[in-house]
Amino acid sequence: MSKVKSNTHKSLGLEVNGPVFWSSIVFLVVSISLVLLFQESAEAIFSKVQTAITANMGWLFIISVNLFVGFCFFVAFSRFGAIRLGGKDAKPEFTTSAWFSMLFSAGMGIGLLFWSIAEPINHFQTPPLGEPGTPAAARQAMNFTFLHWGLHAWAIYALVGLALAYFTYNRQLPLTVRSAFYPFLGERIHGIVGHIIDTLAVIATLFGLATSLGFGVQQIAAGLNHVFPAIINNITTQIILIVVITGIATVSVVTGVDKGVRILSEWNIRIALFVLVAVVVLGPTVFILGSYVQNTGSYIGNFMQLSFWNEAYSNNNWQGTWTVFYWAWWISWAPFVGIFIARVSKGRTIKEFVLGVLIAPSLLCFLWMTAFGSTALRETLAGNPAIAEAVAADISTALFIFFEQLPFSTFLSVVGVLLVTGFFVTSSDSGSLVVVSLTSGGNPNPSVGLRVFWALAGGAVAAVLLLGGGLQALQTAVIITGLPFAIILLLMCYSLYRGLNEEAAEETKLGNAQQRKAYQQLVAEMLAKRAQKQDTQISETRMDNPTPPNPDAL
Amino acid sequence: MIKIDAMMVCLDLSDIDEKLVAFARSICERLEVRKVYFVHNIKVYELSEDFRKTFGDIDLSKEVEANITDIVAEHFAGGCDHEILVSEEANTEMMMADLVKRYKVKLTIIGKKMSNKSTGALGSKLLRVLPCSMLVFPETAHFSIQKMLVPIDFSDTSVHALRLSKNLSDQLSLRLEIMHVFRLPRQFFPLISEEKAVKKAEEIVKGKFGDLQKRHQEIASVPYTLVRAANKSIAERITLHLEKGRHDLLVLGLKGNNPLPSLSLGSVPTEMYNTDINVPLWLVYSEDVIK
Repeated sequence: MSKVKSNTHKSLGLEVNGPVFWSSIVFLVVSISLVLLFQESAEAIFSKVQTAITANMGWLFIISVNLFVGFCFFVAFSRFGAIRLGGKDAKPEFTTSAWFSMLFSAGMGIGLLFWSIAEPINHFQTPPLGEPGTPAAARQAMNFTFLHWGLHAWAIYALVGLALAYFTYNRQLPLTVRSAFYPFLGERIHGIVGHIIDTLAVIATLFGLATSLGFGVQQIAAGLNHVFPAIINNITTQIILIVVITGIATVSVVTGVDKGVRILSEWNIRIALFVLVAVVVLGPTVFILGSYVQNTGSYIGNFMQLSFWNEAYSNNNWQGTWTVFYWAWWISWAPFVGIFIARVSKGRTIKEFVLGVLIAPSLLCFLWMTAFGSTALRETLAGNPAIAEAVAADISTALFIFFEQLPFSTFLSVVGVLLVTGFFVTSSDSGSLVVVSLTSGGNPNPSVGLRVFWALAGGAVAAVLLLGGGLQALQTAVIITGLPFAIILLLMCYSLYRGLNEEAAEETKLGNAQQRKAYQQLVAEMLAKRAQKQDTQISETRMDNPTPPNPDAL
Repeated sequence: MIKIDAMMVCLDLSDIDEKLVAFARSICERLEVRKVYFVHNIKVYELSEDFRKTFGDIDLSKEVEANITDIVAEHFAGGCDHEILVSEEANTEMMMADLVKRYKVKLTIIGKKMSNKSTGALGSKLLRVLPCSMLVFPETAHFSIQKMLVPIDFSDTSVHALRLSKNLSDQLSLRLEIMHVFRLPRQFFPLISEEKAVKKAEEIVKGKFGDLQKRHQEIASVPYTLVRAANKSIAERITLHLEKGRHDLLVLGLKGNNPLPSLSLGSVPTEMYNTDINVPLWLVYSEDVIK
């Protein structure tokens, strides 16, 4: 068993892991400055690298994510499934509903709102296979949407979350990415290699967070402008939105996971469920339920083909801009979401963890995608071009155009804006908490100063990028980090397998030995007691019938 | 008068055996028990090769039987008709289930060690596979029973357990208390205060009690306690109430065999079994209700 080795020191009055904290800040300042200075050339270079990666390394992403799904199911349903994160006596810190709300809100809440309509419509209009605009294209569009938002995406998060939770709670290592490599690197995780891994994770998380926040406020502002034309979608509105979101996220981060983050996530899920139920009830209810069944069945039926399809006999790069892009995107977010999921998953068994992180969110995503995506497709197939035109014009307003097709559209739009904002806050606060954990050396109770610092830093980076430009360049750079992280994740699978194997073998050996020893001991004690009793009985019999003295002996 | 056709006492050769046999006798003295089976399954596969060599040609089965006979002679004197059964089967729980069916056993008594001494894995399995009531006797429990607690969830099985407890308390002049642990479905009350929601939930549960008392007049006089689960599990609340009320026996309705055992793992009886409590736990299985 390994022990915690502290790397933390006081810097600026904050207890931090110096090398990770300072190198992250330096890297952050330098890279933002460079991007701001060479905005266009940076964007062009990153874009070329991204295209090259998605075009040439697609096969690696595809095989990797399939391996992750297989690995997650393997650990859940093998002898490892019963291992409890945090040891045998650990109890879950959060109720199942709170746990699910938090992991769902951090994982993909926001993306669902924008892509649930835009993605199926896009696939419907430009399908990878077959004729566009046909019912067959609609079915295919839902299959690919389910692929991108289903088991594979959640398996990436589940793998990272599980590895980190296991090494943190069962091996007493700090809650940082480096801990997942303990079986490989041993004590070296506390050295320079560990610092590099954690710094990379901080950068990927912070850039991912800042760019999402930057783009997110543009979308919220567009939505607000659509619902309330009086609110102008300009840079001032967007900066105000960043300040508001960062402010709420800071309060949430300061109050901690068990208060602010949990309560906000729970309310987000409640509002999201309300919107979902409203769309199901107010929209074509029977169609949604029917298509949910059909879409899920079609996804299951075509699972292998969809998962391994690699556009090998085609000259298009459709997959590069969609499937591979998604895999790189989820993987680049994995350190952030993984750490957060690990943080809230203590006390769950591995089986429970995998089923909770893999199956339940996938099913909810499917229902959401069906309610919004299939309904939008139905409208388009029926000859109503409003939603398709909205998607083509501006993805961020597609949701609100969609609501306009339903009764109570203004109310739904207001709730929609609230929900978008809520999901951004939860992404922001959980992301900040992850960066806090990484830069404080996995401290479970980091100082308030450090929490405030990183929560504000995320907002500040987003604001700077929004004002100075460079959001697209940095987002592309984040996606590029998906490639090294994919390889890291493959190593993580092996590392986790080794760790779990050691624990399971140790436990079985110990359990069998103890059980055998205990039963053997009981039988041995019983036999000894019986033997003693028989001896006593014999001697008592001798006393009752003493042997007459042998006169010859005398 | 509560009658038990056949009762089975599971022995494991440890110190708790003497307590279990004595407890069985005290049950025979108080209730009408026709026959008691004292059972032990020798886990031959748990004995190493070296161990067997050390003890040579000893007939283990005979020795175990003699050992149980001695304990029974000492602690079951004056008890009812009984039989000692020793087997060497590979699967203990299936063997026990088979005995329950073959001898029409209505109540099985098993011992329970504190969780730091034993995993309790066999007990949990028995809970799932035996089609009869179970009486779990912890090593720290005492024989004198004055006060019973019956937590109910208004299901048929729990009401059956309650009626049986009422009979038992009348027959043996024991004090009986009913308990119900309720949860507040908080997500359904976003607009009213928690206090009001609790009050409303209590009113609903009281209404249910009223209905129950109307349907079963005999339990109308039994005092009941409502407890809100809040941040604790139902089993944790029951444990706290047991400690506070100084009860000597806990009675729960058992929902019966589950074809998917993993689904019943979180059930209150299983959780109660896994909790370290100091009073006997009677899990009442009702064939008729379950059918």
